[in-house]
Amino acid sequence: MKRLCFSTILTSLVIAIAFATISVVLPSRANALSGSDFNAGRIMDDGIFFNGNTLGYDTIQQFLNSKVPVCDTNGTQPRGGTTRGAYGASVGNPPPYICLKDYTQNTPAKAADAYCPGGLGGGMKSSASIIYEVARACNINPKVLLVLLQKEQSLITDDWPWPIQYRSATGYGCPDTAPCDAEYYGFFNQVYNAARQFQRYRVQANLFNYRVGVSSYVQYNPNAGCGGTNVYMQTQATAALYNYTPYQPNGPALSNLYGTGDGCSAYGNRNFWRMYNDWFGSTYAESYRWSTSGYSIYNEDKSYTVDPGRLEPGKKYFARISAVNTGAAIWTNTGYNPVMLGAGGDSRFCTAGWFACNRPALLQQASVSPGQTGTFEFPFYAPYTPGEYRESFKPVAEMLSWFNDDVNASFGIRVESPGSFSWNTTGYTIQNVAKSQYMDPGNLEPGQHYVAQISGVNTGTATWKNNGPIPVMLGLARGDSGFCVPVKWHACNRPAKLTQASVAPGQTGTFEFEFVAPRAPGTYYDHFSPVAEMFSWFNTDPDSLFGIRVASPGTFSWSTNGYRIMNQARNQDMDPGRLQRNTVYAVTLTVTNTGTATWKNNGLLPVTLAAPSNTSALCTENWYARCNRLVLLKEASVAPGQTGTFEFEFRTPIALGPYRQDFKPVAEMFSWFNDHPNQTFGIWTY
Amino acid sequence: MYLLMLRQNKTKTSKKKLLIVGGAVAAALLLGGGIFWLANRNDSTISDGNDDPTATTLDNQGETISLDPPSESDKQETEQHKQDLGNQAQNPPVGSNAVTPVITSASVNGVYAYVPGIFEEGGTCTANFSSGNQKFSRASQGFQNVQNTGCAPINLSRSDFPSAGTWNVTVTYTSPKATGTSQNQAFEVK
Repeated sequence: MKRLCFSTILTSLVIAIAFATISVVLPSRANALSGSDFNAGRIMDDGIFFNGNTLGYDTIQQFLNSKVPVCDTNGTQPRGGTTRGAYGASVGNPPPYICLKDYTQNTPAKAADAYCPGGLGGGMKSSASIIYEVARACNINPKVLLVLLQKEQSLITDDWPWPIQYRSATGYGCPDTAPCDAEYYGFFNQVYNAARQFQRYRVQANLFNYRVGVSSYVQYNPNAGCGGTNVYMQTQATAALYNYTPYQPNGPALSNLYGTGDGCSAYGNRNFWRMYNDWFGSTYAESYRWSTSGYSIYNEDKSYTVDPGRLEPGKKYFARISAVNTGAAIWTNTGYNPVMLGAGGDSRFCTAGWFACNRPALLQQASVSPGQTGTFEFPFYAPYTPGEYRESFKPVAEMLSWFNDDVNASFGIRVESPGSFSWNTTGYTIQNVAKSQYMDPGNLEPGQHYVAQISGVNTGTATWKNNGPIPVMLGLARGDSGFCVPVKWHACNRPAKLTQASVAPGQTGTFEFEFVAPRAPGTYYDHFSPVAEMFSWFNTDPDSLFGIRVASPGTFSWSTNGYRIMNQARNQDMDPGRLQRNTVYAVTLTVTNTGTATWKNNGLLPVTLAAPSNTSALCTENWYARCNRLVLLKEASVAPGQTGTFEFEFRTPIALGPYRQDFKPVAEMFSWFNDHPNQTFGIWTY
Repeated sequence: MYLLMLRQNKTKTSKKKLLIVGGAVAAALLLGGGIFWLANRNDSTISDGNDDPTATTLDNQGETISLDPPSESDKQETEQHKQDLGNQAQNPPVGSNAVTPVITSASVNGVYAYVPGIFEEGGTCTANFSSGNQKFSRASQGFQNVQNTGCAPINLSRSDFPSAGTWNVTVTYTSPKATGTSQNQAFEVK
């Protein structure tokens, strides 16, 4: 029993290991393609067919290399008892043979048109380059072009191709039973015209036999007697393939997918579908997919493109990305699932105009069908710190699905350094506000406004500008300036921006600003220095110290012989002791300048007659200011020793009786005059 | 002593079983390998390209691209195409004056057709409609379309048909190089 048990276990072990071995070493057939998978009305989805951005040049070359590991250039391989070279020579195609991976050709330029809006430059190009450029110019999937070349002439896998295969590489201009049209000979001609024609089928769809959304008769074979069926074209790509090659595979052709069918079989569209599946995967697109050729960067008003590798710090730009709908769903920019450009997290480029900091832009078009191109556009500011910045954005159907990644979807910019900012000042000048007279900085009047001009040579490598993201301004690094004129300065630590629009290295720039001299006599300094806003301060130049001295205007003192009171018409002197109640009278006060300052009735130190008590019951509406400033000095200027006058009116109080009040001059904002025995104004009303 | 003998016997028995199991595993591996070899000994000549690719790269959207060398079926088709080209070189196609247009759709709205076997501009496609004794025709220009000559669509409306019923249409192509008429196609006019 024990031996039996051991034998049973041993046998089971052997079988188990044997099956395990088989299952490990046998390849998976789960993805095997079957003819029953072929859908005559949906050979390929538009999102796959009309997508020129799937392959880079290098990948195309890599693909071509893989399909011809060794090119039989000299035709030395055996063939039918002889060599390929000998056989080829016997039918007019002697060696050497150039394989597609090595093929080059001089190509003509092609102007952009409605079918190939990219246009093409001319010149000597490799086959990979031709396929790559035509695919992008005409927005046809380069994989489609590769399969077309194989389907028509086996050029992808042929390791000893003949010139005739290049001459009619895509079968363009080659009817089934007649010679090819020489007008379309040549590899480039063939690839370009085929791709262009695929777009023509889309743009001029109504001109052609097979149209999306329409059921049309498709034969099995050029021999009409073989029959055919009506096929409902589910995609534009499928219609295009039938317009190019108007045959569908019959049952026998589909039953033997990798071989031949019967005398009524045609293989063009079957082989296209099969080869695409084998080399590149499914011909059916997922719902939300995209491809892009990358971003274009525009200036702020979007009038021209700029090099993303040379952006200016702090400047506003617009980014625009074209997105080909390579999926099966229609994109919309409204409804429950609008398509937006999105980021995984908040973007450092986020600015006003974005929907959110992880949603730079909404799809611009109301609707983008598979195969069509949509665009996203968003503003951004280049960071102030020079360097390289990169982020990845990709579309998202909101509340539904993120799109696939794309190698070209990375948003990268490089912010260039504007250079260094330094200066060497050449000094400053001061003028009166009218700029009609230069002033001595050491003898300015208190409270007076002046205009200062500070100049300096650009000793750095950056060009100074007075606008844009880094305007150069004159600044004060610490605190506000005592010279500030708030209505004239940008801020009390920013007196002026650069006068010139641009100052290149070696040139001289100037800063001009109005300032007010402090009212108290004395010496004042500020250390102004230019600043490249948001970027850096300039060097400190010891010679840039801005200094002024405010001179004293002198002393203000007076004497007077007293007030002369007249009627309001000033044609009759009145007795101050017998004035009527509530009546207006005129007064003249003659005064003598006994100080050293010249009195003025304008400017910053106007001399007025004032009530030191700050108000007066005699006030009329004609007084200079409120009820404490009666009137300005009548004369424009009264030098020391000269005589001036104040003329004013007053209204007697309603109440009967005596009334007394002191008035005396004041140099406004500077000092009161001395007291004088005759400054008291006294009246009696009855 | 007895215990020691028992232990020695047990040790010998264990070694024996170990040898048997080891041999069985080796035999199983050989058996599995043999079955695999038998099942796949001709694979070098019958690969159909269906296997998952072993050498791959990714495209710009992350899709897999096969970088496998050409399959046997690829090679056979390539050689067959080369043979066809060789035959054509020895017996080049000369074309034919006789062509047979193909009607792809016909209805009260119009007729679409193409002409296989010829690739040219300037020919005339004429659609001839008939129903009993009633007849009329419409013509359009032929134009080059890659591998055949397309007929510009012949657009119609209900008012073009004198009566309802079953109508027949054929398309005749005429040019200096070729001429021919399609098979008849019937459609209903309501």
